[in-house]
This record gives sequence, C-alpha cells and structure tokens, in this order.
Amino acid sequence: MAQPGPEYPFCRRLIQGPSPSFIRELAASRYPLAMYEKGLEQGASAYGHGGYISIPELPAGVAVRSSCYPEIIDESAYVRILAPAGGWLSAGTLEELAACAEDYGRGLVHLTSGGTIEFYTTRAQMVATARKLNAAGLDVGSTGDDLRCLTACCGPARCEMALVDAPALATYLGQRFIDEQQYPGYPQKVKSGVSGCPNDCIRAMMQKDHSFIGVYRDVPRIDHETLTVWLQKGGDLDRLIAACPAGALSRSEAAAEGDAERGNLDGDRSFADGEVLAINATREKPGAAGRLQSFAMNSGRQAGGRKLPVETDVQAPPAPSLVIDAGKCRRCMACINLCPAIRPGRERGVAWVAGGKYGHRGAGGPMVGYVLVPFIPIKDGDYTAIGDLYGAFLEFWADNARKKERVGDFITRIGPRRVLEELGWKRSQ
Amino acid sequence: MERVQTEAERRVGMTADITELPAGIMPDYRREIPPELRQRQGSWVWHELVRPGVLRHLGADGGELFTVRILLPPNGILSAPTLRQLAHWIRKYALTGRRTSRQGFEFVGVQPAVLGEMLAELQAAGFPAGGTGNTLHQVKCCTSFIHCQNAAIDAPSIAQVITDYFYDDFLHPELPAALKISVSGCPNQCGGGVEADIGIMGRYESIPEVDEEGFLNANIDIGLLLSWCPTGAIQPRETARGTLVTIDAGRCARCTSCVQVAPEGIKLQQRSYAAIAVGGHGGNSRYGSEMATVVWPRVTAQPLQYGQLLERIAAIINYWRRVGIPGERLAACLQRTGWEEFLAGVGAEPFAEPGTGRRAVANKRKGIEAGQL
Ligand code: SF4
Ligand code: SF4
Ligand code: SF4
Ligand code: SF4
Repeated sequence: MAQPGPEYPFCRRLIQGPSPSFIRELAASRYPLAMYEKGLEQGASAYGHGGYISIPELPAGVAVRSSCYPEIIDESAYVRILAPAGGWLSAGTLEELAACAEDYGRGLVHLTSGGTIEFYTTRAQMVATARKLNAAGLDVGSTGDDLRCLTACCGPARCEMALVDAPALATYLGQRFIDEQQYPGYPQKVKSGVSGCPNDCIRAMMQKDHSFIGVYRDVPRIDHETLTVWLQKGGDLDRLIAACPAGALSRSEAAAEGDAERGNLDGDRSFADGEVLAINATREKPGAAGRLQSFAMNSGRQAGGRKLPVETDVQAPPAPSLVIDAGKCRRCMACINLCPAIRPGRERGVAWVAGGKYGHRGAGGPMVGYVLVPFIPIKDGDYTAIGDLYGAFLEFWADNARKKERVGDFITRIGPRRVLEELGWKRSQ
Repeated sequence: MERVQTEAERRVGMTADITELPAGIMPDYRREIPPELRQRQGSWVWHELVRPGVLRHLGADGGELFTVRILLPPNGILSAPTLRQLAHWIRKYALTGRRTSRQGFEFVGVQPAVLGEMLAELQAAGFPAGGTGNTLHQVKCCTSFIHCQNAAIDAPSIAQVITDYFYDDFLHPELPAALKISVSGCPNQCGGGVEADIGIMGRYESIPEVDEEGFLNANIDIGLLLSWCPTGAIQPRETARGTLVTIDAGRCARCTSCVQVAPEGIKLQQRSYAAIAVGGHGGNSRYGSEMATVVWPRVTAQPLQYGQLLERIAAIINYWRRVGIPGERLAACLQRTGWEEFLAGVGAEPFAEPGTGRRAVANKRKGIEAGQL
C-alpha cells in the first residue's frame, strides 16, 4: 500500500492509526503531497486565493487555487462534477470516475461534504475532462454564484420512511434548472437539497438555501396487529409514548380488551394548508395545529370503523394499545422511527424551507431555513408546481437580492411574508 | 442551427452563438440503481440493525435488503485504485453503492449468503463495517489544507486523529445513541459543525487586519464589505487617500467574511485555534433542528497537536455515557440535564451568552460566542 516517504514526517504520523487514512489515498495518487506536508508544518494552508473561473467552454464547474509554494506546484485546478442524486454510485460510475481522474486528473477523487464530486487537474485539461465526463453521462457545474448541485437523501429505493421520492424530485429540478447550475449569474451561490421525510438525513434545512422536505399532513396510522406483535417481541410502549415531543400518544384502555380497530383515516379528513405543520423548526409557527379537533384513532369515535381481525395469542396478556391525539400531533417522525406499527399519514407532499446555511458569513451567520410553505401536495410524481415555485423564487431573489446576499439573509431582510406575497402564494391555496 | 439564448445565458450576458456548447447533463440517479432494486422501490416497511455496519430493510412482501456501511478515509478522498476497489466489491457482493451524506460509503443489496465473507474481506482490506446505530458515525470534515486557502485549522487530520482515537466506538455500539462529529477548517463550515452532536470549527486568533496600502490599491466595494459583516464591526473612515475601514475588535466575531470580500485589503493573522460546539441536531424528527452551542471557544489545534481536542471530546462522550439514557442523542440529553450540569460535568467554564456587550444584531446568531476572547 502506498506510503509517504521520510520527507513527509507529518503525513507519516497520519497513517499509523487503525482507521482508513486519507494520506494513503493521497500518496496513491499524483496529488502533490508536499503541499499538504507544508501546510501541516507551517500550520497554514499552502494554497492561496484563486477562485472559480469561467472559460468560454465551461462557464462553471472549474476552479483554480493559487499556490504559496510555486517550487512545488504553480497552481492547482479542479473540476466539480454534478453528482447523481441520493449519493447513488454504481460500480460502473465509480470506474468511470477512476478512469477519468487517472487520465485527466491526478488520480484522485474527492466526494465533497456538499454532495458533489471533485477532482484535481490542470487548467489545460479542464475542457477535455468535461468532455470525457459528458461521454460518461456526467457533467461539471456548481461553482461560483450559480445554482449548486441539487442533492437528495437515498429515497424510497432504500428507505422505508420516504414520504416523497427525494432523488427523483432533485433530479427533476436539476434537469429543469441545468443551465442555472452551469452559468453563474446569481447574486450569490444557492444550494438546494431534497429530503424524503422530516428526519432530513442530509440536513438540508440547515445546510441548503432551499430544501424540500417530504411531509404528511393526516395523522400517522397505527396498525394494531403489528403493534401487538411488536409489543410481544418486547417493544417498549412507555418509551414510545415518552418519545413523542407533543404528548400526543397515549394508551388506549378500550383497546386493551383486544378488539382494537384500525383508525381508518383515508379520506376521513383533509386539512387546509397552514393548519398542520410537520416541520417544527420554523420561525413562524402558525400555532394553528391547536385549531384541529382532537381526533383519537381508537374505536368508538369513528362510526363504521372497520373491525380488524386480531390474532390474539391466548397465552399473552391483553395488549395495551395506542391512540394519537390528532390535535396535538405535530406530524413528526419520532414515533414512526421507533415503532414499525406506526406509519406516516397518506396525504403527502413537501414543505418548502428556504434560507438555511452552515457558514458564519453573511448577515445572519448560520441559520435554519424558514418554512415558507408547510405543505405542497405531490400527486403522481408530478413536480411541475414545485419547479415553478422554485424557479419563481430564484428569479425574485436574483432580481432583488443585494450582491453576495445569501437566500437566508435576503429573506430575513425582506421578511418571509413578503416573499410569499411576491410569489402570489396564499396560505389558503 | 441557431440555439436560443437561455435565461441563464441572458443573465450573464452570453450570446447564444457558442454553438459547440453541448446541453448540460444533470445525471439521472436511476442509472445508478439496477432494475431489481428499482422495482422494489417504496416496498420497504422497516429496517433493523443486524450488527454494526449492517442494516436489514424489510419489505411489505416479506423481502429483505442488506446494506453494509463502511468508513471512508476523512474528507471523502479516494484514489483511483480505491474507487476501483469499491466498484469491485459492489460487483462481487452487492447491487449498487452510495456515498452517504456524511462522507461514508454503503453497499446496498448485499446477498445474505455472502455477507460474512464480505465483512471479512472488508476488514482485511482496512475498511471495516461500522458507523451505524449507537456508534460513532463517520467523522465529516472539510478539505482545509488539502486544497483550501481559507483554513485556520486542518480538518482532515483532526478527523483522522479523532477516528483513530475513538475507533472502538465506531465498531462497537456502546454509546447511548448515534454520535456525529463534524470538523470544519474555518467559520465557513463547509464540513459542517452546527448540525453535529460535536462540531469543531477553526477560528483565527485575532481579528482580521486592514492592510491600508493593499486596501486602497484594490478596488473594494465598501458597501458590499459593510453589508457582509454580520456584527457591524467594520466602519468606513474617510482619509485623504480614500476610504479605509476600521475593525472594532469588541464586535468582531472573527467570521472571516470581510477577508473573503476583500482579500487584497483585509488579512488574517496566522495563529489559529479550534472552537468546540456541542448539542447540534440537524434532523427534524422531534423538536426540530438544533444548532450546536460553543462550549470551548479556544482550543489548541496546531497541526497534529490535537491532545486538548481529544481530551475534551472524551469528556463530552464520557459525560453522555454517564447520564444519557439509551436512545438519547446528545442534544436531547443536554436538554434534559441542562447546560449548567453539563458544563460542570465536562469541566468547562460557562462564558458570556451570545450578544453580550454587542449590538442586538449579534443576538440572532447562534453558534458564535462573544466577549470571552
Ligand atoms: S430523510 Fe427520511 S426518507 Fe430520506 S433517508 Fe432520511 S429517513 Fe429516509
Ligand atoms: S408524529 Fe410526532 S407528534 Fe405525532 S404522535 Fe408521533 S411522535 Fe407524537
Ligand atoms: S470550511 Fe473553510 S477551510 Fe474548510 S473547506 Fe470550507 S472554506 Fe475551506
Ligand atoms: S471577521 Fe466577520 S465580524 Fe469580523 S470584521 Fe470581518 S466580517 Fe466583521
């Protein structure tokens, strides 16, 4: 395995531990390890301000860093590749990337923390690299003041929590707004991500300027049959009830008799937009959830509720059961994450959250996004309406933001209400 | 054939006559997922942890899907041979792969019959499975000294040292819940920090300095510079030679925004250190996202002198092990026990709340501390 030579004492100390070492990866490539060693030795980066560049053939997706040690390397260029949504990378794509990095770069690929893929190359090779990537169905982009690569969580191909198909929506938006990812023309960069459910595994609400988060707005469904099995297998009902942040879960004594009925919610109720808020990190809590009537899911309340045949084991004590107070429930994922018998409601869509960022730059510093619209329904995988809204916002922001003003700072300055008004979005829509 | 000018081209003033520009490609993720997995999309109803690093998803039809998660080297840095190695493992054992949002890697659709063999091969190759459930997950970090000019500290080497030091916690699920650590080289936080249970962020020793000559010679947009400063620390000052700026040390949050806007005129002092923030939670499953709060504002982090960082991380983990209840993330644990008890438990000094001694605008910021430097 590749090892740095004795001229790299700092680097050598970083390959001694048990975990996979990035120094081994650097050493196995044509990366100028002396630059990194210099940085460690001096306690300061060996790279200097360079920047995103635009060349006629490639307005975005390429950049250079200048070097503080021209005797090692005169500058370092890199390309940024739009990554397939959801992080999915097949064997074929990994091999394409490896070949491309070897033939046109330094034999090194970087899976960035922002969700893109980069590799180091030279200015002269940039265009050839991009063409080679194009041939493999990939492309460069996502640098400078443009729309950054759309990212998503893994989605329903692997995750049972997925309320919407996050990679499909991200890919739809990425395809529709491909020019915006390749021609920097915005006041500032703008990052976007799509998460399939409020668990937000990719932390889109915090990291991205725009996030679309899968949400549901009817009450979670309890499958009492599965609940019984879960309890028999040692499921901890008290812990489940305690996990609910809203105190909406409680034992149902009636159901303890063993004749639990399934709360059949399909079509029973529909909620108006703004009434229910699945995303609770909003700064504009409408507090409207309280207007909902309490709607317990156990039998009795629901005329004509279907009887669910429960195969009760005669040995087992009568299983206690569970009800959800619909008025209190915030439509989060806490109970759903813990217990297989609770499934999200069936009325699904996305919440549009805008203004998140990790960085300390800009007026507001790091911020969690504003929930602009708590529920946009998605029907039959048709994402047009979301794309329209997203495009309208981008245009509004591009025309009105100050130079270098991130989305979050822009919304803070003009107010979320104004954004919605300008876009013609009404709460009751 | 003439191409129609697109909206984006119009914005940047590009003409439509560069006909050799091919249409852009947003890759289709569906290409990365083989049909046998795509067909089962949406059929999953539950998942469980089989053992560290191995997930089993259960389908409504009784089917199952195994995923093996491995730790990648910090910062997602992979040489071509390693990429080919990952591709080889996918071809040999799984349906496809994916990089996780924390810079780890997963093999999806591993055949249960070859699971044991695969785990052994991964282990032997130095990429053991782990980082799921109640363990330390992949330490996420930014590029720093590898390729970034802004870095105050070097996140990848810190991530490497943390992973090596707490390696057992990566392999064995003995923590109260998942532990996510993110490391960023500067306040830009490309590698995260505010979203993590423990966030480490590079900071510069002192406030940026105005290089008057450089400032006057460069054509700096003063309005932009002022608007970028989050705390109002930069004030313009008219001189005979032109407009200069002064930086108020009492207000400056050392965010480096001004250096980004005007690198020719505002320079950073070299000495730097790390801030450790605790209790972030990016997800939204319970109370909504929580940003991590800085607990130690100034810890030595000169390259490879990471003892003080490790000591403090260990103190946090030990406290959490002591008082955390099973399944309780660090953020929830802090919410329950309160900050005072936590600070006492880890031996940290309480320090001024954000915004103290500053203008009200600073109060909006979380994750930046004030008044203690
Ligand atoms: S965000 Fe939700 S749907 Fe997406 S991977 Fe996480 S739990 Fe699954
Ligand atoms: S979805 Fe959330 S708020 Fe509603 S019952 Fe479950 S845990 Fe409680
Ligand atoms: S966080 Fe700072 S040091 Fe790290 S990659 Fe981003 S700008 Fe560079
Ligand atoms: S470092 Fe940040 S807070 Fe300090 S003067 Fe510059 S922009 Fe203002």
